[in-house]
Amino acid sequence: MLEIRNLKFRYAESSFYLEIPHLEIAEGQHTAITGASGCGKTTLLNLLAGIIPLDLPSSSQICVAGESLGEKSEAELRRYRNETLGFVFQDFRLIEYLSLKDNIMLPFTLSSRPVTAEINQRCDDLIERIGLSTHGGRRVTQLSRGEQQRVAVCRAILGEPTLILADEPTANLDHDNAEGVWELLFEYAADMNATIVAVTHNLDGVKGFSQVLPFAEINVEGNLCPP
Amino acid sequence: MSSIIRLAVAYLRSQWKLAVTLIVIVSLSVTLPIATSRVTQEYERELASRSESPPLLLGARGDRFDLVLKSQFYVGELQQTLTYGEFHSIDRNEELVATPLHLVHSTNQGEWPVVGTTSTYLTAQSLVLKSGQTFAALGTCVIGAGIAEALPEATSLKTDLANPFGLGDMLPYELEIVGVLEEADSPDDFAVFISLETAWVLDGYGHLHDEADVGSAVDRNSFLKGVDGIHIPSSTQTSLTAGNRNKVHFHGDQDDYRISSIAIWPMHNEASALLQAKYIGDRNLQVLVPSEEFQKLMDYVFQVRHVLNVVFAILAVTAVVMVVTSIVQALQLRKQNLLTMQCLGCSRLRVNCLLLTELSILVSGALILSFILVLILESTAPSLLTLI
Repeated sequence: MLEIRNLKFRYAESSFYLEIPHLEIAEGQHTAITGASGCGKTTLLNLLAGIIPLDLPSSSQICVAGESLGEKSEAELRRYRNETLGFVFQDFRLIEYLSLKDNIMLPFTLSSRPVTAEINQRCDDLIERIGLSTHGGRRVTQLSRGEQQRVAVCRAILGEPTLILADEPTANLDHDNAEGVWELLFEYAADMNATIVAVTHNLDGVKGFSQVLPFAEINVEGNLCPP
Repeated sequence: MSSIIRLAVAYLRSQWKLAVTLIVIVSLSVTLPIATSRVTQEYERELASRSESPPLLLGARGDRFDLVLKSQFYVGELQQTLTYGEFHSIDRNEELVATPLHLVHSTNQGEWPVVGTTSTYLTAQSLVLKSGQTFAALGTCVIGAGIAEALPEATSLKTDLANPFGLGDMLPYELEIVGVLEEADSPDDFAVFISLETAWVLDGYGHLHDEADVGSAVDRNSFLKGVDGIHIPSSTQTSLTAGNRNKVHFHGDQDDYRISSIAIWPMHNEASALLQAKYIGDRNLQVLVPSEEFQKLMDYVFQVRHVLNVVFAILAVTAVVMVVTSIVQALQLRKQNLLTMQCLGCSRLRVNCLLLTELSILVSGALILSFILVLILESTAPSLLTLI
């Protein structure tokens, strides 16, 4: 499903350096990448999502479902993020002035994908699944943090993506809410045989991951700049 | 598209104070120049509609605007500084068509002027009777289309008292409406036309008197009242009908009776020039060309409009700066939202469409508000004549 080869990345005018010689995650696998804050986990996810473009020309290669991200145009990357990928952010990134349902539907509303009756129904089902069916018209700012993150998960999975990238999705939640979020993700992934790549600094007894990779092991050079 | 509009509305609702402020700023910067331009155009039209007719005016020397505006637009009372004899001397010239104007009385609490003149005036001003006949008989009147519309059932109009207490004044007369003019889109629509003789009856030169009265007429408040051989104008008979019309009598020489001004239509330029030359050195009278006086007035209006245009340009630039700053600020505050949309793979076209929709709603709101404000300002703007 996901393969990284010879990935080398650094931010301009920064000593931060990321180097992953090889990483392969199979379809349907749930992978947790752990590491301390600031070690580069979010950078890795952004690279996997095509949000941060790979430096070209370069030998770095990220392949998702057999397609190299480096060879995609910006429009193709947007479509990849919209149709193949579901992204869950640490800080939810909900649009505060929109209702719960409008937030979940946003990837459809602002893309070329048609908002069909089926999508609408699926959205309603998801809202019901997270127990907020009576809150559909409310603004997200009126929800608790746990509820907001569950809404963000719904937004990520509404388009039935095959790959879910989660960036510390439970970092700001208490144990119960965190459990609810993980449960929602794993349940969806099990139903759709979707691949999950989650980065977190604390798994806190979360069960359901097929593999847990310490970031330090996959990033061979650590945060050090090569000579 | 409807979902994009819904998202745009949701954003604007969440920022309603900013949205309302922007709408008001934009609409004001659009409304003020448009409304000013339209109002001054209306003033110009008002003036232009009368500037050529009559081509000349004869009146007392003094305020030129006053004479022109009062004679052309019947704005307020114009003192009777001419005599009917002076009209006769002008009227004898066959190269001139002249009509006297008597502009002292009014009806409806001063709202509608009563214009004493001759039927020649109606012809010269191209005023056509829609129904009825002219004001040939004493005590009758012809009303403009505007008055007829305001009083569709009226058969008569009562003149106003010349002063609020009516002391020493002639009592109001009932004027019988015998004709209605076609709409002229001019001050004539709201004027009451009567014959000069009727106007002089209103002045007191002519009157009815009670059966017992004999001798010479004096005012009913005169100290001569009650003296033998004196009679006073009737205080009970204040309408002229077929029954008493022949009992009206006038005192004194008609050539001494007062009129306000004389409207003159020269047959050709030479006649006009000769008449103007005749009165150049006159100490009491002046001949004016109304179109020239109106042009002077319009020059003032244009000067004011020019100053206002500069003010509006500054206002518009300020508004543009404020709007652009607000939009840039708002985009800056929404940077995170826009980044999230990008992360979710939203189409750039759709996101731009969303922002454009928000802007379009604001602009539409501003234009609708401007339209309403222009209508309100236009309808509530005082007439130039009222201002003068």
